[in-house]
Amino acid sequence: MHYLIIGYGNDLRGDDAAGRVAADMIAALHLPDVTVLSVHQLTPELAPILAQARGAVFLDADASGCQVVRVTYVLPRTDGQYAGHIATPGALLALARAVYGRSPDAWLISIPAIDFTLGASLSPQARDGVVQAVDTVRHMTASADRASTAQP
Amino acid sequence: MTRHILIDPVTRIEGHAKISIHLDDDGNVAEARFHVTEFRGFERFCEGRPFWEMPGITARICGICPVSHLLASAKAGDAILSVVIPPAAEKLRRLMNLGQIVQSHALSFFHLSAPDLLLGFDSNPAMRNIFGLMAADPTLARAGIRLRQLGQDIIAMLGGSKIHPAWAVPGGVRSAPTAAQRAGIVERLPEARATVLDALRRFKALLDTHAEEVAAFGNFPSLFLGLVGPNGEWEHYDGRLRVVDSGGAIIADQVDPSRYRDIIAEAVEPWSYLKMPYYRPRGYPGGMYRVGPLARLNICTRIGTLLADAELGEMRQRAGGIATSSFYYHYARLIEILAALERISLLLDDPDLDSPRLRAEAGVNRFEGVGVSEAPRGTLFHHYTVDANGLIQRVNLIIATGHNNLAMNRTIAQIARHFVRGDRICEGALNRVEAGIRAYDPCLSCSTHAAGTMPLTLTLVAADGTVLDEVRQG
Repeated sequence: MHYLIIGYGNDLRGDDAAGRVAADMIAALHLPDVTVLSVHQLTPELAPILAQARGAVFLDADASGCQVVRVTYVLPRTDGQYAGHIATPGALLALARAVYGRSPDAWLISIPAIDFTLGASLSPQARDGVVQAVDTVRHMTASADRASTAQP
Repeated sequence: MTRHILIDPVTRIEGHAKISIHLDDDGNVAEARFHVTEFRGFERFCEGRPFWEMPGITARICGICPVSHLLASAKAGDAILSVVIPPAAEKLRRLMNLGQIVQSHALSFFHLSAPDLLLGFDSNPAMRNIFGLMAADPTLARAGIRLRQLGQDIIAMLGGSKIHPAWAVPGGVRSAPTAAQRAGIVERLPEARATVLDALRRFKALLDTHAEEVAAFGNFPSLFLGLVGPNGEWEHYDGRLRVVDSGGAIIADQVDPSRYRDIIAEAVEPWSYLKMPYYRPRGYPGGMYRVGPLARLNICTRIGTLLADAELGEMRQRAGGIATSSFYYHYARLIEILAALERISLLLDDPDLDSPRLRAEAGVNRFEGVGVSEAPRGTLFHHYTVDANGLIQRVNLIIATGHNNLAMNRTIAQIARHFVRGDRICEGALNRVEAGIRAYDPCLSCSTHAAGTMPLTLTLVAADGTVLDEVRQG
């Protein structure tokens, strides 16, 4: 079983691409046992891939005004947050569980984002956030690896 | 080189769409407006780029239907090159578009609309989604998800990626699938056919129990526009434009798509960023027309495959000829899935697909090119003007959701008149208004992702401008 990293956003809308840029940087690290996806939106066909993952990390731009990278544990959610065209991480986990019988432990890394105008560049804040997010993922997957190696 | 264009007003994640219902002095619904507050600005964004890059760039307009933009853009590129692409390339492009129709229509029906239709418009909103459907009818829900997966896998087989495949290029396509890959799709077709036939059976039963929705969900005379083949047959990738009125009369036929401006003009309204195309000879707004699955089935003489033609015949019988209710969009979508599956089966067996000749090579031979194809939601136009170096000077895109803009506004007004009572909006009315929009399967949430759902704000406005009620969904 592998770890699944999913960065998502529109790469033509400035900071909206922060999650994808982070995902691309993680892919370039070639971390062992880690699968990285960079996608425009969270769509239902990601559910079967999620169902096979040992753990999952979603990387997303955060427009809430928060200045720091945040990591939150994501629970499967079936309470109407699924619109079909676009799902939230929680809804996608719920879909994986409902259709394929299981969903992995999952976390959402939210990257501060402030500029969403047309363009393929990130603001300095988002760039800093991306670097932090990549570091966070590296530590998360490394510590998860150590934990699984230590198990009898 | 990174380009950074500032366009005001810069909108962001919230408020992709809102609806306002305006009452008259007597408290009756006077009009309704579907406001699209997201501005994409892709037409300007593309200026100065080589036209060769346009399929890859425009496919990124949307994470849901990139294939449609990819194909229309590649076709505009074919026109600039002035080439006829190799037969294998055309058939492979067709195959990808059929995969796109399957996946998009399956998503629209099973994920978005089936919860309303099968669980009920007034059922618990927290459960009126794919998960509620899963609990109520797991077999149908799983089959619907697998059906969509098949369409996505066809796209992935051809493009090497489920989204944003930079596979179709001006002059042809980059690669062809192997015989083994094609065989893998063929063996999944019987299950897919069974799924859509089951869904059709269920939907037809619903028509009897949803007479009120059939009567009130965008049921009005309008024109219907789309592509047809040389003999008026159903077309999804190429062909020429046909316009039919709600009485079934063909009022324009075999119009060269590159001359679309002869019959289509675009109006703008200050309250929406979405353009309002109309049939030019009838003026604005009298030239309102609809596109998409319902229009394609209303304008064609036949589909050209056995099962789908039988279903088309039954639909016309039920509708009494041309189907004028937008509730029938769901019906048309299911029939088009069936048609697409039948066409996919035929194409996968076509020996032309083994040809190594996939791309015509040429330079800039024309300074203007129009590419038109049928996206799942309707006719999609890409119109480029280039300079001698092939750099884009001007871009005009007419997307399916834009074509249907006038009809969507009329639909909302009709639903509001029927279901909104007094100065409050009840949940059932909100959901019906949203479902009326959803019948057109508009793609509005494709600009930035973080909305999570298509947020919809419905505002009820009195004749003096006072906001009486406002509810939000999503």
